[in-house]
Amino acid sequence: MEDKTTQENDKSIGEKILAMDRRILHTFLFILVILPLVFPLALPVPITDLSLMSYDMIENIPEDSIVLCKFDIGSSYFDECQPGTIALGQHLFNRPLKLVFIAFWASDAPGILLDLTFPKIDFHGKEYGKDYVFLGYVLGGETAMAALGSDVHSLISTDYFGDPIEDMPLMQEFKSAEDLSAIVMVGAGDEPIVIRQLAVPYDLPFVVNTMANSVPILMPYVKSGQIDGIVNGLRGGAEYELLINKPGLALSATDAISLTHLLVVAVIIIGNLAYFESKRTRHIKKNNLEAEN
Amino acid sequence: MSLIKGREIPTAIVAFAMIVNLIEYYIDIPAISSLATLSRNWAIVISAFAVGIGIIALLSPHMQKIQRKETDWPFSVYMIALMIIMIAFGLIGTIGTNPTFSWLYKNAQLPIVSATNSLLGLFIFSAAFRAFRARNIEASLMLIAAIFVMLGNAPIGASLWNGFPVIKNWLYDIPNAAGMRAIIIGAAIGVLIIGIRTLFGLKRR
Repeated sequence: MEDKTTQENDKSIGEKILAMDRRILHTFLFILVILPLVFPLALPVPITDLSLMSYDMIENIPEDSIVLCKFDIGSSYFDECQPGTIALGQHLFNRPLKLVFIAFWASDAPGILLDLTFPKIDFHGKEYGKDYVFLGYVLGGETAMAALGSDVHSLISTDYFGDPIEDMPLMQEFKSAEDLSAIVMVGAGDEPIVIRQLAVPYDLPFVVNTMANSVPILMPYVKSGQIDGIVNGLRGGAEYELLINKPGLALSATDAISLTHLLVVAVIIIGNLAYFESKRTRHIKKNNLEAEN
Repeated sequence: MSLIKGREIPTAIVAFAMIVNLIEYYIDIPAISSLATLSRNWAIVISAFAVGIGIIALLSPHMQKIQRKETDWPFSVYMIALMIIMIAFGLIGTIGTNPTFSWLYKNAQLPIVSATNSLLGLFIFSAAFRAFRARNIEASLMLIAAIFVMLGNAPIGASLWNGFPVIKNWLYDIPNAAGMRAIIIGAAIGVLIIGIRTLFGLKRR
């Protein structure tokens, strides 16, 4: 017991910091996530180029055009992408466009859209079947996307609710990707598939709402013009809420994003300082031992 | 008999689908387009069967675990029971619109997935404290880049110093884009080679 206490006392500050229980770190993180939600700080949220590009793309879609809304919002990235999905969806419904909602990747997307996303969007009296259609989840991934591009009606015969699509005025206009004017996507991971099966072959502008950790992977496509804008996770959702002037959940979470990012940076810096201090202390102890011997 | 057991028939089917879709991508011939559409519809039907196989693949080890009463076997019972409940409610009425199914999804599955993702965030946070060390030049460069990207991504970063978003954008646009481009092209060449090997039925040595 005495040896252990002596050993603890012999530890340098750096070693003590490095040996810190990680639950202390988790507690700090928890506090910085909860505190701004209870006491909003209203920290500034500058709007980035990627969000502006997304907004401009949707604003510039010609009126009465058909837009493919590939809203593949799944449970695994629901929390991060949902506010951006609502903001994007609201912007699309604000404009005089015809919208076709479909999912190819996340089989739980239709449920999320119907129960959690669409109720938060003002449809401005748009008529189902004429102004927008909900096709639900279509199995087949990239193959299904290729099939949609060439002939929609060979891939799908009914909408999500089981009604035949051939009777719907919007679907009578939408036969293949040639009839589309843009693609708006929510998802993570299948952006390259959309690019190679729909966006590039049919020369369609393409905007994506995705997780923040997917954005670096998509930068080559932005630089080459194959992606026209990215809504960058929760922060991008907050920016988009500002752009459409409809503050929501994302904006309320930006304080927490700012503070936790600062905490992570602080913790990394402190960890490195502690590491170098402990290394220096070990080196000094080693020299002292050698001098004694 | 050897023809059924061998690779010739599957290779021929794959080759047919590949050639038809490849020609259809570049040349507009109605007959080829019809065949390509047919092959894609076949693929979609096969995908549906794959979902069923996935369920069997998930059930099989868990059923064995229950039979043999291996460690944590009650969790396997729990998992199978929940799966059956969700499938049953999902199939009642118009598929996926049953109120009980929606309630279970919104109030049970979604919060559980959110909680699991939050745990991941906690572990990444403590891993950043322990693993991000400037042990050598490469690690130091990565550390500095990570700090600038984090501060550039944080909404408050631009308020602290307007250089953070500029540096972050430079990191995204130049070194990151260059590296990702190399990975994407490399992966694409790999897929091309695999496609050619599959088309010609070439076996790996």
